[in-house]
Amino acid sequence: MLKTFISLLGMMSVIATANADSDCVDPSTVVGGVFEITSGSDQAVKSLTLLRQTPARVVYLMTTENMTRIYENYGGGRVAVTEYFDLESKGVEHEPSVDIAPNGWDTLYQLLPSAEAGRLQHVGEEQYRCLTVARYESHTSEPRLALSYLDEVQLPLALTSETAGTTLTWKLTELVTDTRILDETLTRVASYKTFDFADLGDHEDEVFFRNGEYLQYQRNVHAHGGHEH
Amino acid sequence: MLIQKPASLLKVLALAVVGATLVACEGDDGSAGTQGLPGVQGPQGDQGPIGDQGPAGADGEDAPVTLSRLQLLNNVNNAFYVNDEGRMQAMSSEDLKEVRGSAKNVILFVGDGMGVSTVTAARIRAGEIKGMAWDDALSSDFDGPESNDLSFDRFPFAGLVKVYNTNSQVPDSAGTMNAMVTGVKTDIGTFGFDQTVVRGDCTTGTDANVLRTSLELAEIAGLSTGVVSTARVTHATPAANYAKSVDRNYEDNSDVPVGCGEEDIASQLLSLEARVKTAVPGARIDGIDVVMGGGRRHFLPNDATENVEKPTAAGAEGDRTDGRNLFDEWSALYADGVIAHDKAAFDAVDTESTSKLMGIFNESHMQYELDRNNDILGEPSLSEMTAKAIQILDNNPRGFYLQVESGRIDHAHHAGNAAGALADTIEMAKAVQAAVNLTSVENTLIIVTADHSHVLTIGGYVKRGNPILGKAIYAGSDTPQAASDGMPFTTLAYTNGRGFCDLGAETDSDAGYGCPITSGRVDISSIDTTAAGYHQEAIIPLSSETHSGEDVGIYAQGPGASLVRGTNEQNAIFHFVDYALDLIAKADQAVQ
Repeated sequence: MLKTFISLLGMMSVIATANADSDCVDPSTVVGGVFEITSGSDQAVKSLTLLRQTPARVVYLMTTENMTRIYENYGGGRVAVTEYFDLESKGVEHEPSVDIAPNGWDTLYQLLPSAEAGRLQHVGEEQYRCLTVARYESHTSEPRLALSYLDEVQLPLALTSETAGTTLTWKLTELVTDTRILDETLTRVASYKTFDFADLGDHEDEVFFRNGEYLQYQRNVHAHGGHEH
Repeated sequence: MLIQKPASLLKVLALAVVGATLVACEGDDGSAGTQGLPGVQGPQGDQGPIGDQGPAGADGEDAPVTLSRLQLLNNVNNAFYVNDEGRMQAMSSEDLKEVRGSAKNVILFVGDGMGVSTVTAARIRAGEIKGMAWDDALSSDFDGPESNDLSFDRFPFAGLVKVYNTNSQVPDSAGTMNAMVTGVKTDIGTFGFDQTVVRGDCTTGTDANVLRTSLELAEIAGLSTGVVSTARVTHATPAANYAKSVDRNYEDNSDVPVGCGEEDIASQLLSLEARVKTAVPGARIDGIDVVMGGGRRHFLPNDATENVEKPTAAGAEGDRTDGRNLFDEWSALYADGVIAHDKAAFDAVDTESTSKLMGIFNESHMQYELDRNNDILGEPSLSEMTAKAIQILDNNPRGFYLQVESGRIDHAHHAGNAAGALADTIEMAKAVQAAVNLTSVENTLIIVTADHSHVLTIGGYVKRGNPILGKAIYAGSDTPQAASDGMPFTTLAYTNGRGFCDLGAETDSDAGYGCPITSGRVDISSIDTTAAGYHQEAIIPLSSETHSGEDVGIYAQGPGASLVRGTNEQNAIFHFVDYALDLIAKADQAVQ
């Protein structure tokens, strides 16, 4: 889904919608954000929390899917991801590849490829919790895009994409400044049993893989959007 | 739980058989007399567990203390060991006299997952790459790629191998490799212990069921030793040479359950020397001389400051939670040893002056051969590693034992990507040729086999010269044959797995794990199925394609190769190596 999101950005421009908030935020304290994502004809709602551990390591908490992902930037376009299945306390590591983030690390780290931002039309600015919100719109009419972006923390405040009667929206519901959630997440997944993706075929003893639950997860992600790689 | 296992009963039976032969050298089937251990009863004891090597000693009371009696009991008393020892003698008794000790060196190649269909398809693919074309009107019988030979196709001796594990009809790499290097079959997922072990139960791997390996015996005998793989060197196949583990997954300390006293596999690579010296008093061994493959994560601490390749900000490359850096420890053990982590360092290794080499070229498995050029630091190929290993090991005038694995044939199959599996098979054939070129057929036994097969099929009445990765085109036609559903199909297909995925020119087989699982038929009319990134259709949807249980091939040349014929239990491969090198006897002599 992220790939779709980014490709849409690349194709068009953006409309900005910004929320105002009287509580000011020090951008240097922001470690991530919580997003509400609405997509599909049924307008299903999912939650995603993006947490930055370092400039080369980000955590995605996909609470709707009960999954956690950690992306790592190896440089040279290569990104590795470990996908954790929280209900089963298991993880699958995918080796560094240019295919995981084909539009670059920025798409994972700041949800907006720098190269693409310049192709959007800047239509105005406003404030959100004392942060500057840059509003963009797409140049093309289909799909129609509107983006409000917090440049100082490099996160979108809101995104709306409309095409063929389908609307995709991302909405920032919370800026994360408390690092405890990051620490707790890292501690939690460190206790999981993790497998190299290339070794799945050698784990016939793992019911989780053998009976297709892993398969079902994959279907779930594809069916309801999410973050393809 | 343990005593309820049928395997335990097998061992009891084996002990009973051995006990009987110790007394009377006879059995109830007429051939068991050759299966026992009279060799340990007298002066011929150092000949190893051979029942017909001359007169047995009278009572053994004054016999020298031999390795085979004290340190190999769990091997030689095992029913599988006994059975195949006897079977070989019944089949090859005349040959054995000439074979015993006739080899100076042994190289055991294992293509992980390289079943017969994989060999056939790779042979054809290699022929295509060579330009062996076929034209119905112009070609003579042997022009087409089907007539091509992989290097080991030209070996003079071949046979079949039964691959089952003691508790699994369709085996895995751990139990199968254990059979090859100890002479004893064991349970799936384990190695270094006989079938009384319970996978994942650390209390069941003990001195009472621990097994010695060919590599350990070679070390004791004074030979140089090496392990080379394109998988992690802590992965099941390479690890079974030097480690004992109740679970193949215990690759570093973070994988070992809390409370389990077992040493992790990576650590065992370093402790081999000390462990064998403790277990076999008098053994003068110096540790594995050449280790090459992937798996750096299991040797490094979970500390980003000690990364080799990964940017510090991206996290720690190492998985170890005990703070140990095994590369540093290895360097401390072997001050003159050379550590290489990339192709440049590998190329710089002087094979004449280097006595110890540890080349760990990737955080996890090394790259697929088709994808090797995309590696960040650069990796050597399997053939290059094989050549380098031989050039170092052959500096020992006593000889060497080298085990080489092509580990990623298996992984490409699991991902449902035949192109990747065939490319790695072809590279292994090149590695075998490199070994042939660098050794003498007069003194080096080269064995090539697989641990197990995969569910890859070669189907349809496809015409000669049709691309093996292509759509099936029948004789007399230039267009793909339609199945009863009206759609074309490929010659190669999998019975199970993730199924169809078209990734075009993608050379990383594992990229297929990003595709949705697609069972059954897809219209591939407009798809180039010969592209590296094409993943074949599969009938049964699984998250990963599986091993299969049919026999695999075994090929051999050099002294002792004549033993390789007919259909064999997988554990017989240990005996091939033992006879060719006279390994147990040499080890016995070395410790006395």
